[in-house]
Amino acid sequence: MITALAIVLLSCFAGFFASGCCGGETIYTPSTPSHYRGGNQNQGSEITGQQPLGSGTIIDRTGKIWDVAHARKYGLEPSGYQYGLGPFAIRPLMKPEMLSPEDPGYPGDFATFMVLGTTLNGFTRAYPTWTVLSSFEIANEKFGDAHVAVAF
Amino acid sequence: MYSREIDGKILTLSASGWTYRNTFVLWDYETESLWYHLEGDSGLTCISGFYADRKLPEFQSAHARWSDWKERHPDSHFLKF
Repeated sequence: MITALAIVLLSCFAGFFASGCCGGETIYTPSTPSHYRGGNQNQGSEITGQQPLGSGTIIDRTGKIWDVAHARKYGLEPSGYQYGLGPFAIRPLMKPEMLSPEDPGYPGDFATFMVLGTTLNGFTRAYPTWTVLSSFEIANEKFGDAHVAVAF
Repeated sequence: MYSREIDGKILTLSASGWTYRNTFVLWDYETESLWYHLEGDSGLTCISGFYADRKLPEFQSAHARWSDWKERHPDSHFLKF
């Protein structure tokens, strides 16, 4: 996930998910959502506030302490967490509004930007990845009675 | 895309500001539990916090060019931004 807007919002983040589609549709149950590329993988260790405090805790740049000891069960070591921007650095989309085909601003049929599309409970929706989801990461949505998080 | 429902409650998910192996670590506003998509697994696993070891199931989604998606789903709604 990388655009100029994303750089401003994410400050230290440098990479973004590469769109692998050259036409066609990639159906996936994402194995690694929010994947990004680029940047310096070693940069995280130099980010202040990322040092592990020991005993499975880490502290982010806002000073918030996170207990991640339990995550070792899944092979996630405290030293592996990067950036620590703080829990409100990247705000999610809340109750996003959707455009219908007849609404002004609805994109033309031949636009080639990438979207994350999904159909659930009779609702079919598309979320542009580079311009929106790459900035917010998560959209907290509701498809009929189903509450879901659309994640890039 | 993941369910936000657990034990009859609705969670608000967001990025925690952390990444692990280039993947965002999520958290929920309600309990500040951390959620992570483990490689090779489906859904989100709570790796820390109140819901530790619980899972949020995943729904199918597609990453596609808008033109292709629109062709297959002509009545699709589109995010307003």
